[in-house]
Amino acid sequence: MRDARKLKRWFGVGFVTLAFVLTGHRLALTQPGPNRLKFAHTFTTDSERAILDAAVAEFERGHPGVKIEQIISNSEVYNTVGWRLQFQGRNQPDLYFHWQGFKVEYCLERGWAMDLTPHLAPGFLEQFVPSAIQKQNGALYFLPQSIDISNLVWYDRDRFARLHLHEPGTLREWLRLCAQLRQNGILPLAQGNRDLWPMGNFAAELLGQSLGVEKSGRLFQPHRPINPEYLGRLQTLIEMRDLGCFDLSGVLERGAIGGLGDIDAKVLFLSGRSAQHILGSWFLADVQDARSKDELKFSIGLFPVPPGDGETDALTAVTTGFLVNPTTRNPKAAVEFLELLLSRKYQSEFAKLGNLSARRDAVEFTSDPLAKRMLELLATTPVIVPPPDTGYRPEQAAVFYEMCGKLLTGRLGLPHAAEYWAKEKKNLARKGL
Amino acid sequence: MGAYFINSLWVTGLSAAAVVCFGAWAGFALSKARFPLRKFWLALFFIGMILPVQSYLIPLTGLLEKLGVHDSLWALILPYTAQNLPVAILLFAAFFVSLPAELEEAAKLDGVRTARFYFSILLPVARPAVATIVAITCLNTWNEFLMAMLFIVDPAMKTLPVGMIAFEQAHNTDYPALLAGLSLISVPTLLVYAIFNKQIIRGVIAGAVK
Amino acid sequence: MTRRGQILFFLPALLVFLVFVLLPSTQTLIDSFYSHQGIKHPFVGTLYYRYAVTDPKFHQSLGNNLKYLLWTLLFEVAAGLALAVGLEKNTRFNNFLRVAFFSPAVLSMVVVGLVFGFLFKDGVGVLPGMLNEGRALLTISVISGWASAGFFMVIFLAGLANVPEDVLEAARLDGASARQTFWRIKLPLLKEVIYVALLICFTGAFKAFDLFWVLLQNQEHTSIVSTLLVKEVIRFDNQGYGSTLAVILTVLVLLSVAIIIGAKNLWRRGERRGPL
Repeated sequence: MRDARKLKRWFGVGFVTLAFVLTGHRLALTQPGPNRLKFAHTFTTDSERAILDAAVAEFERGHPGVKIEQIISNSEVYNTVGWRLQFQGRNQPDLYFHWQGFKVEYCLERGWAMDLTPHLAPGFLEQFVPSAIQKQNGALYFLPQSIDISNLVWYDRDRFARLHLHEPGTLREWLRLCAQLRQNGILPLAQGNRDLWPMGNFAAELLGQSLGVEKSGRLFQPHRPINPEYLGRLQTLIEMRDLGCFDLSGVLERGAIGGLGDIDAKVLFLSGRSAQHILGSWFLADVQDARSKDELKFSIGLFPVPPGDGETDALTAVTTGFLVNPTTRNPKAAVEFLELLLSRKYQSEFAKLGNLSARRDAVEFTSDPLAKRMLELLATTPVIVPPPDTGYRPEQAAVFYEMCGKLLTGRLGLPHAAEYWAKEKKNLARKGL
Repeated sequence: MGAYFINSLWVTGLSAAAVVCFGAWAGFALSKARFPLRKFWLALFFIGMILPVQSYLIPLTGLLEKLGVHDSLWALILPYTAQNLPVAILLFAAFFVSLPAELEEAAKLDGVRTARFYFSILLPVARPAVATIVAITCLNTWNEFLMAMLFIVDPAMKTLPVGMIAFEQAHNTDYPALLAGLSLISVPTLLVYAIFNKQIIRGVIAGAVK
Repeated sequence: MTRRGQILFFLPALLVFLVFVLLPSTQTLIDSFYSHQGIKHPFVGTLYYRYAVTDPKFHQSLGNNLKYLLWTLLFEVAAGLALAVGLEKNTRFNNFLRVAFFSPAVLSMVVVGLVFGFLFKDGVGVLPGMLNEGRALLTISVISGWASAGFFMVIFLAGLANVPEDVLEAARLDGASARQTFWRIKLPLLKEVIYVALLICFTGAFKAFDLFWVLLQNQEHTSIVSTLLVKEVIRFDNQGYGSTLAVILTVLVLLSVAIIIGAKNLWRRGERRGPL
């Protein structure tokens, strides 16, 4: 009896010791070393990760001993929370992905980015379109990876062909097309606005088309008044809702748009439950994923959000890229890795996934027809407006996103929108934001 | 997922061990009627028990950073221990009050030293209370989400609930993998509950009625 | 054991509790009077408290907390009581049911949220539309009832087990019906346990976070004070207002505990003075 208990105790002690030896290193307080580079990014699709893994492998072959550790976040989480919280950690990333605009500025202000020029290979910058390389006081902090178009209308080509529908050139045409789709018993658009940014970005493009970049940008600045006339174009959101663009009984019930996540909406479209889906250029990576898994049963086309009568065909777009943390113990390796990632070899791989590279030779290696189309769009658009969540302060953007959500669910009428927005801004000012 | 599981095991195991250890010591001390300011301490721990985590959540990030443990498993083990201590102390105090004083006297006569007395007499006697505390603490820490979400940035250090959310966002439609992840969190607690349901239920009642 | 030994025994727990609970709680209180925008942290007095009084988002969140509280009183406490009364008899089958009904309480709320979120997903799930604006709060309350009713059942069962057998026997001899026995005898004897259940339910309604965050963190109609404060801190970098909301939440929790304990004491005193 006593022996049995003793045995049990020794067994327990042995087990804990074994566990500690095998996994106890997780309890260690590790210090960042020069040979371990942490790379934070938001490339989550299998297709993108395959490219990154290949680049990491090539880099590690060329730099024996140096390891690159990828920290992969969901882009919404990274965009709202992770981008800032990662600098609170004891293991800050050495290099990290970002959207140009407010967030990059914020990182610069806080000293979370370092000047890359001393470490760059000669001639490297000349490979890029000059406008994509933005120096500040002679220093360069940000290397561009891609220009993301925030709103594109993706559609089921086969379905359009069957119904003899064509890509619309104007807003009127588009709304008519949506009505036709609905009459044929097809959900025009699968959209999920649970987290507010999907339709908010769309609405920002509507404002960009009707107002241009400066006027629409001013709306998001703190303390600036809101002119009710400026918001007239948001009428489109309400028209689309009333037309039934976002619901069809049996597929999505009325009002479902507010409870559905963006990923779920994306899946609905890819599984053929809707004819169109509004999402950014990065959606091409999902399309390729679905294609390579043989899950896609139809061919896909895209067109830009059509402008209203007499308006400019503005695009909402943002440049993404990479920064290097000044706390890194090995800035040279970090920059060299970015150079490899931004080389023609890997950028041409990314281009197949809709990545619109800022390299001068991007036109040559962008071969996917959809990606080509996007490059054309970018080249011809007269106006580019930033998506609110990367262009402006997060709380100012949040007010706009919330307002659009309310307009869509009918909780707020358009006549009161300006008043609502102004009041929310005043509230932000009152709590010091 | 495997890494999250191991992290959760360490966090849960060490927090529970610390809670039982410190909780039993303090509970034993507070069970003595002549302990200085006894009523005050008991009231303090009672307030600590009902205090919502949000009361101390926000400055903890900065504090953990200052201590140099932010973004490590210790950033969870320490707050989890603190969070679960009050219930443990109150339960142990109540348990040891009902313990006959002769026990200690006898031990003293036998010349048993404090540490030995604690490990070889007190803890075995308090076995039901220990089981109860271990059960509640393990459940609480295994399932804790809010602090784990805020204090751990490094994906390698995430615990299961937070890792599960990250996984769900990244692989939204990979149902087999999602299901595997969900079972990895739930099966251990359900299994432990199936085996120790008496202790857990007793723990819930004791924790509730205290 | 010597006095010194006792204090040595007491110190580690006190230290951990002090450093990781009391100190930061105090810090939260202090932070709520300072602005944390930018690098400087100027003192702003009661600015954030004055703001909270008129903040429509806070009002809505607090309202949602209260609605959630009312629903959970029904779906957790009342349902738990019903389960306890139904499964009171100690039979094998009842025992099995008790274990089964309690089991969701050991699950992570994250898991519960993910699974129900999937079931209720529009276009995919089996019960779409449950998270629409009009019903989301009710849906979350029902889910939380599903998860916690068993927990309250267990507490009530413990209370019922303490009802003296002879009292029940006497009632039976007097020919009281089952309903009369419940309302006249069992319920009054369950009073102590009911207070406890209320205490847990009230504080739980303010502490709630996981389910709301996992299911609908960005929608106003399911915003509660705890999600609002987390968003304020991690999204808008506004630690001052976040701390203020944390202080308000703490006060609400402590206040509800004080009220319930106060009510209990008052009731007791009233009873003692009563005709009996």
